[in-house]
Amino acid sequence: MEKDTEHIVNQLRCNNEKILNEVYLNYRESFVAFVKRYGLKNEDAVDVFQDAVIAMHQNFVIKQVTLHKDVSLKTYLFAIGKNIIKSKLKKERQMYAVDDFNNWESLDEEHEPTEAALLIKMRNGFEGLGKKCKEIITLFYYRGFSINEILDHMGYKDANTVKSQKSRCLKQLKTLSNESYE
Amino acid sequence: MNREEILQKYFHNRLSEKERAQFEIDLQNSEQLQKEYKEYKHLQAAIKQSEYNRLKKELKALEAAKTGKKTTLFNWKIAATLLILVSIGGLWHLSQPADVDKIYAQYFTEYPNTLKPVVRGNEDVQTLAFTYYENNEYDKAATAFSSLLSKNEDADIRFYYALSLLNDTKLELAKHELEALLLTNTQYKAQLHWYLGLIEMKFGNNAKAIAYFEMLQDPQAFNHKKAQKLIAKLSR
Repeated sequence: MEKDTEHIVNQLRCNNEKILNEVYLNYRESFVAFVKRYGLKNEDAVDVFQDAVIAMHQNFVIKQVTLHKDVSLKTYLFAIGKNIIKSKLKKERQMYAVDDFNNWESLDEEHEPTEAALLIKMRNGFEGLGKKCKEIITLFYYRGFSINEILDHMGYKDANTVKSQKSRCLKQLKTLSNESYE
Repeated sequence: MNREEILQKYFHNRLSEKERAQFEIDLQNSEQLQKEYKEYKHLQAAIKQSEYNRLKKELKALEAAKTGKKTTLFNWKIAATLLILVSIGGLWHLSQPADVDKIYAQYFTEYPNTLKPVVRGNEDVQTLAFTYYENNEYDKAATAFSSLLSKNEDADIRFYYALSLLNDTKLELAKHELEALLLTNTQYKAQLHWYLGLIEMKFGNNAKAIAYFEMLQDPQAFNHKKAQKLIAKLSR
């Protein structure tokens, strides 16, 4: 991996959105030109590019992905984009195919309907949280910060305070999303 | 490592191969771990979706700025400018009887929480909703009230839901909710008439506004004097 790429990837893994915007602007033209080969309209190509950029970013942030030394950021991003187009085209084909079967439910991508509903509830619960709670929950579950890392990052008194604050916020989120795991 | 740490490391790719293999075996054998695993997975997916929506908006805005096209997103600057222009237009047309927006602003005050005093330490949705309401975080209050109402219909709670919308300047939505409450036996009947009157006045429906304000004829009624003044202004 080039030094420059390494720096960018590290920044993305730290959730640096300014760098994300730079990546967006840097590869936009070539990506749109590239996906037009699949017969996509300009608008759809841009839409796919945005989704690819977000998926790439979330892979870095959540899964802390590292790139193999021979893989450039561009190659990685374009590969994600290609996968998105493929699943998009597959879905469109299914759309035409299911007309005969009336089997619309199978179209609902990765999640079962009940699971999708649960996710919406939980997302609403998360979005209903106050700023502090949102931050602590995001740091733990989305960015994978340990309790001690959260302690340093948010300047709490001690690890126990972080733990109790986190469980209080989680309780609030569950109450808000009206969903219990008990 | 405790279970939560292991789960977190698993979901963020921080387990060694050996630890990961062990985790997968444990997962198959423990119902409790499966439950916690699911909870973590769902939580992460929910945050991921929320972040996706936020980032998508940002990238759309970046795209719009780049191409110089008008953004399809709601643009606050444009909205604010339009609002000012509309208000100026409004001033022009409404020189008689008076500037409605100004009167609205003068007479509108947020209705206080008189239903459930917030007791610190309680963590139920209702307390949370009223805490948001009292802290002027009306969009969050509205979400919380709406969540309460989805479980259990309660006219007085709906009143605060409507007021959260109204305080958040969502007049159309608030009007709809308040009108629905007219048919209930909420303890806030007079308040309904007052706020509906203000909304209708703001929308330029003076006759309707006067009709609502006339419902506050009783000298003991909520905002009786203010209602009388407004009737006088609107009838001019």
